[in-house]
Amino acid sequence: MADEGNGIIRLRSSDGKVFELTESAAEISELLKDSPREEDDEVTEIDIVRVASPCLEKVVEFMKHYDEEKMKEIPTPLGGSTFNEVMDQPWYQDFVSDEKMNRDMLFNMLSAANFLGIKPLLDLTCLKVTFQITGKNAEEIRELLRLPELTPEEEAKAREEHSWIFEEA
Amino acid sequence: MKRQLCITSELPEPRRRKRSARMHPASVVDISSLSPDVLHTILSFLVSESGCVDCESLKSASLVCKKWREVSLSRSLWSIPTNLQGNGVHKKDSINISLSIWDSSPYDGRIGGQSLMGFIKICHLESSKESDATRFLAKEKATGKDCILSIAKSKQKSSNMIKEVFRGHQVEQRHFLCPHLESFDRNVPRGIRLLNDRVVRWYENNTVHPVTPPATSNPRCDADFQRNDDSPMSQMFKLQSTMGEQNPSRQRLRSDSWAMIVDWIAEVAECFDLDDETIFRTMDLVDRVVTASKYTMKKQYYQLVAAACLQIASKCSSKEISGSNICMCSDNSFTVAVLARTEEYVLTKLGWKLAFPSSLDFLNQLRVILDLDKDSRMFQVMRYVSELALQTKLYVHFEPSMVAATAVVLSNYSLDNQELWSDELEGHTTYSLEDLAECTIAMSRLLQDVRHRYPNLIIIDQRYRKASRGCVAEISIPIIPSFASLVSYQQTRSRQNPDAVSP
Repeated sequence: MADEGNGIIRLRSSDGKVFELTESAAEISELLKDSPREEDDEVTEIDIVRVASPCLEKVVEFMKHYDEEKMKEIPTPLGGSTFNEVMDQPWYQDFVSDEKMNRDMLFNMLSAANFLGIKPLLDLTCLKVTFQITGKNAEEIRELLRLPELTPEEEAKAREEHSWIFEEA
Repeated sequence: MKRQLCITSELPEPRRRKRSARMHPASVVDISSLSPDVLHTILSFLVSESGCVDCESLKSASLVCKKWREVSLSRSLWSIPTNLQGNGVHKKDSINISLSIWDSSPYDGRIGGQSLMGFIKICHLESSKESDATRFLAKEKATGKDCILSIAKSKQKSSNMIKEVFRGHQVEQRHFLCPHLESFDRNVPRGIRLLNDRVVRWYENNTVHPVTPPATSNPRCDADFQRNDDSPMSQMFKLQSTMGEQNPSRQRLRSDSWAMIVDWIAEVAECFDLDDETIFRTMDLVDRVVTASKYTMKKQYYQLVAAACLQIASKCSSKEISGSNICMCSDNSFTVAVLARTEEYVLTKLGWKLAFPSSLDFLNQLRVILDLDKDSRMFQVMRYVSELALQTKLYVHFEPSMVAATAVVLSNYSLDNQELWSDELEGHTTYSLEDLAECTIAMSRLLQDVRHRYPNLIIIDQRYRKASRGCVAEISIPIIPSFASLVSYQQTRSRQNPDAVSP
């Protein structure tokens, strides 16, 4: 019989890999917290069918670390003008640094955090994205987001329908 | 013992729809996978960044796609600065930015109105000195973008403010407020506004200087004139000429519908004790809307359009009539919601150009020149005549200034006065008696014609049968057969009283 908070939760990713973490670490995820489990269960296994293993691995890493070192809440207004100034905890800086996390992973994390309801992770990734789009024009943002390129016909149509966008250029 | 729980799409997770297939590592996350909530969080960091809004980034974000645009203009995002008080946030900045984003948007009352509502709320919460500036700025933008009506609908309380805006717009838009708040010299007024029915110049430190004496008959026009050194009359002529340019082909309603609408408007005005001016302004609006419409309007819509115009006109005057009252007067043939939509349509069609001098405005000026009392019998007759003339087709062919001048001549003729048209009036209006002859003859005939053809339309007669209006409806307005009869009238009178005619 496990005491409250000491149980083990196993998360199974969409491609079958299993990650283990303690129940207290899983607390920050609203989805996991609220998921049904029975009192006398030591190990609960949950299928996260929408998150793939590389991403889930990172998420679990985050959750485990968060259990040890809480992430400070991101203040509004932000305390600085660069990402590292705003987020002054080295581990979290490192966690989403460009070397460790590419763009696709970042967006996957964003979605996963949203899906699992992990607010600190969501804030962190959102903040990262915010600084990525800062100072970029609409075209660059579209590129960053990999919006599909328009065909010439579509573009002509869009220009006709939304002439206001192009007026300023 | 192990239990297996499965979190699948059956879970009541509201945001799951778009994400299902995209969480596979190989799949490319595209923009649509970001839920509005996430987007909101991302953009909210932009709003609050270093205590000031990062305008450029936010602006480009708003241009990325439709979804981003909606989020970047949402009210919740813009309500964030309210929490930042005391953190060195430049409210002016944030409002400027939001408006600049908005500027690049097409007309969309829903989104724009929403975010604007946000700003105005902020402004109202504010008690600092800046609040006036921001409020006015927001209002200026609001009217520029036609959104004021959606605000008016959602917020009853702000109706006074709306009224102010309406009035401000009467005094052309660009004069309402100088565009650059920063570059203000203390001695340069920020704008013109109405305060207790007086037009005042409004200065940096919230001091005001009246530019018109209290209780002027027509503050809006006066405000307009004050900016120029020209006389009111010549200003009105200028305005009138711009109206002619905008309205090259004056195609009107069929005359019977027109006369009926005038009758109805007059009845409503009588019931609710609206200004006379409202009737004239309404008909001017109706006329211009009908002309501006691409297609011939169906007859059943006439009343609706007229009702919307009446509401707009009443907002510009001191007495406003509520939408529900108008609907009641129409026998509930339309609802308040429909009326409001029509109002929006009318304003859009007219491009918010609401203030053109009506013949009553000209009459008021002529009254000043003639040095007549407001309640004098002569002035009442003049108003009666011009109101009757409103029902005729006269407006198709003649400008308001001409109609007003003619009303003076015809009133003089009917009252058997000494002089039909003085040299002084000619000097002010540039019309000679000969110029007015055609219009006078037409008017005298049409007035008879209208009475003859629409014996049921008696509201205007009833209005002027009252003692408060000098019972002027009882006088008979003769038909003037030709210019010669005008000349002979003038000659007879001057022969009878040679002293009365000025040398």
